[in-house]
Amino acid sequence: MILEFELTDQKSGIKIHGPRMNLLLQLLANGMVNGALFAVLACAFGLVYRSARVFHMAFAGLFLIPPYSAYAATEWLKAPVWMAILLGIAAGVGAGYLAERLLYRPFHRRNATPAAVMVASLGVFIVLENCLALLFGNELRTIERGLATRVMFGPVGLTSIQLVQFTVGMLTIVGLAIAIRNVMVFKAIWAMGDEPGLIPVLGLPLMRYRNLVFTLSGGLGGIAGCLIGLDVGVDPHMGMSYLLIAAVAVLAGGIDRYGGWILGGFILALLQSVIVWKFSAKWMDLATFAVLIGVLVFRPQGIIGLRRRLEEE
Amino acid sequence: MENYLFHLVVLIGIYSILAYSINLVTGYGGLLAFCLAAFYGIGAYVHTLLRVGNSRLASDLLFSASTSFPVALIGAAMAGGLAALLIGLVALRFRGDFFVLTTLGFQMIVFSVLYNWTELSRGAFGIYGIPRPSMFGWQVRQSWEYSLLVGIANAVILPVLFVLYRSPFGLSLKALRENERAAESLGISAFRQHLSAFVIAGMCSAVAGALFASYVTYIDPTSFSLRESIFIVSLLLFGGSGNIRGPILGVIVMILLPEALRFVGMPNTIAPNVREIIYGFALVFLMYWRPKGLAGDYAVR
Repeated sequence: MILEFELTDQKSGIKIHGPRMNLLLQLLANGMVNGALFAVLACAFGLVYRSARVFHMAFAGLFLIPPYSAYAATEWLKAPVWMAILLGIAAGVGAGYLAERLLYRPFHRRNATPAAVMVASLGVFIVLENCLALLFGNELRTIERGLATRVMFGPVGLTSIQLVQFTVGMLTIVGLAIAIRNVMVFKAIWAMGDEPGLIPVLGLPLMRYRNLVFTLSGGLGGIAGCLIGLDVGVDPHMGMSYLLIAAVAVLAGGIDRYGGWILGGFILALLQSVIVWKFSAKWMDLATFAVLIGVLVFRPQGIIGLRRRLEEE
Repeated sequence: MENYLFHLVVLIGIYSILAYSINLVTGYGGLLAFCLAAFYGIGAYVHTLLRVGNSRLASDLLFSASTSFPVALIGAAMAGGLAALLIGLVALRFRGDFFVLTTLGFQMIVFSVLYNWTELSRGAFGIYGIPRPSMFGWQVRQSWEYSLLVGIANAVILPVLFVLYRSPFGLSLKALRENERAAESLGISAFRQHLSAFVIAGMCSAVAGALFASYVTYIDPTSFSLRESIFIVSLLLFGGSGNIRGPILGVIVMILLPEALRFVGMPNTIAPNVREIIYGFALVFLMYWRPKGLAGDYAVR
């Protein structure tokens, strides 16, 4: 039996007509697009978590700076969209750099405990969130862009914005994967996560690497943030839920595997799509955190993570 | 004016129960837990459901009480303890970031259930018209009566917690927080002691939630969100943990700070944001210069 029904997609606000199977395909396609976004966020969070060993709570505020900068550029300076986005990403890079210089470096110099750094980072998140709310208000803001056209792929339709999101997201992921695999600096950064003390011994600049990690994370967060701002829009209080999604993707996929972060991001997004199909959009958060707790209990090293020997921990 | 002062006393009373409960887990047990608001919310909702009865939730008339206040209070404590037991069984396998994330996840799950299970909690609409407390022929109506009620609750709960802090149980928690492996080698079970601390904290915060629900007579899930959990943790870290004088200092400062801003003449539209900005900065500077908090004995690790 084919069920005809109509449903408004939560993310894009598009009415979807058609039989139920097509609806699932449509939701899975949307899931892939969101998966690319989640994976970029997971990279931004995971890079810091893996290499600098910092639970980067402030990221929840930092990645909203780029979309708001882009919004401000289009609204107040009447800049074209592409320039606004570039400005936004530049703002993200700057914010990441400043976060390391002003927040994490002093704490690192003091040998602060991880929990103290996390709480301080949380404090910065609270400050950023409320500054954004003061400046831009609590409403959802979308970066000004042209009307989205709809492209059909057989039974599945995607908006042009979603195609841009997916393409840019995938390019970012692949680019970073190549960099991590081949570029010497990134290899050193990856090794820094295992033993930060050895970096200066090898004559490499530890502080500069840490700075690079946070700056890069700010830029990646900026890409994801701007893509979100182009489509569904941003509000100052949405940061925490995206940060938690990124953290869950990294932990569920496996902290020590770059592929795991990407896999985690896609799995979470597709799972959310299936939940929307099977139950309702309102249970998405529940599913995300059920996955987190389930993975931590049954596979603490992550889905494709490597189990470490006891003496390595 | 009097009512306003009594209102502050009630708030301080409720938050001091919360602060001393999390002090047992974080200050003595050394576990940074971001899920106290979940227990607080469970307490508030269980109390409310026991008071009004589930059958009447569909209608808007929620005024008839179906169980008495003390029963609802005990039920709330039981539910909070049970929730703490469940999440403790899972979360206490981990330490550090994983523990924090598991408790965070639990907090988000509880919030999501309260928000979306509309048949149970009426979701975002909240439940209003919660009956005011009455027991042993004493009808609590005025704010001073509420202050008295919250004061009595504090006088019952806090001494128990203070005794626990100094008992062999509290000392074993302290030993675990300083060096878990060494403490376990002396025959202290980390899992059991931490779990007991968790359950006690869950029960006490659920009682605080019940008091809150009966005081404001209207609850909705946003009072029990992750934000609230973060607030509870930060008021403990602000005052200082691991002793008796720290938490109450944190509560008084954090509750009175927004009121002080009100007297400075900050416009109401920006006051909540400015307050949060101040407390965000306070967290950063505190963690930098005084990780132990204003008057604490223990710095989180």
